[in-house]
Amino acid sequence: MKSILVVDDSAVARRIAVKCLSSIGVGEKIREARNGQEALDMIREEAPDLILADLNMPVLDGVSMVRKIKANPRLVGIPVIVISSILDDARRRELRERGVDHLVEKPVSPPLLAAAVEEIRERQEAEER
Amino acid sequence: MKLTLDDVFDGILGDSLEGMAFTICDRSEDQDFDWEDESRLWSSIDLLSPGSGRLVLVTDPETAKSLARSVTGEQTTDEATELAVLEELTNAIGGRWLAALETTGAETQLGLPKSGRGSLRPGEDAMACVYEVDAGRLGVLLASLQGGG
Repeated sequence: MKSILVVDDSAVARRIAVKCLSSIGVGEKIREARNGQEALDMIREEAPDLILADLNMPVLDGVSMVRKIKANPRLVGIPVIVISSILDDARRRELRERGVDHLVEKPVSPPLLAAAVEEIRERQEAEER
Repeated sequence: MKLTLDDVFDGILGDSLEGMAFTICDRSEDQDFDWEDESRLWSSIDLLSPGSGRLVLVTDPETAKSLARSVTGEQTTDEATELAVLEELTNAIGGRWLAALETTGAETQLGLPKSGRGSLRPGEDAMACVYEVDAGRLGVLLASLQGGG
């Protein structure tokens, strides 16, 4: 997972996510987007290997962004980790159904993120076998 | 022992501050707090579902600076960063509080956080509480949207 896109309207939350990624040694190229629409524009230019996304964002929220990504055959395989404080049971169910690979409750920490990345890696390796 | 809503809220606040700012947070024995101090920094978020209300965090500039340093890991912070850190804390605490309140399986909804500097007078229906964090004191308001706060 060399190229990672971090999507959050909060610059502080993006900074925390980037620090967590750096501390677990994931991502040689980390780009940042401030909302779902900006992320989609960046993904169309260059698809990342992994997306870390918040849900509660202006312009285009995280759920709508995930829906668009997972509806696009070219982008559907990009793993998405949702990092949010509003992960109630209904939303967890909906996001799983929409193809979100992992859900991490805020505040995010390096161990939580490492576990999510590892799970996605293992799943990808199993699919390749 | 049966948990009260206060216990649940204190747990969420404590977990969020410990997880993001690496600071212990306890309900203060001294609940006196000058809400009308013009130098205070605040952040608020609307709690839209279940119910409707608003969560506000209020603190003094030094505590805000210390929290921002802990969260960002940077020694030098400006007021914009300090307010952004308060917003992110409010967002995390508000979301987890709604998720804890939701028992019907419906989706929780949260507004977008706002922040600023200046005094805040708690509305009459607001629950106001003061917490001690490593760096100083944090005032918390939980109010209905109709009641202000």
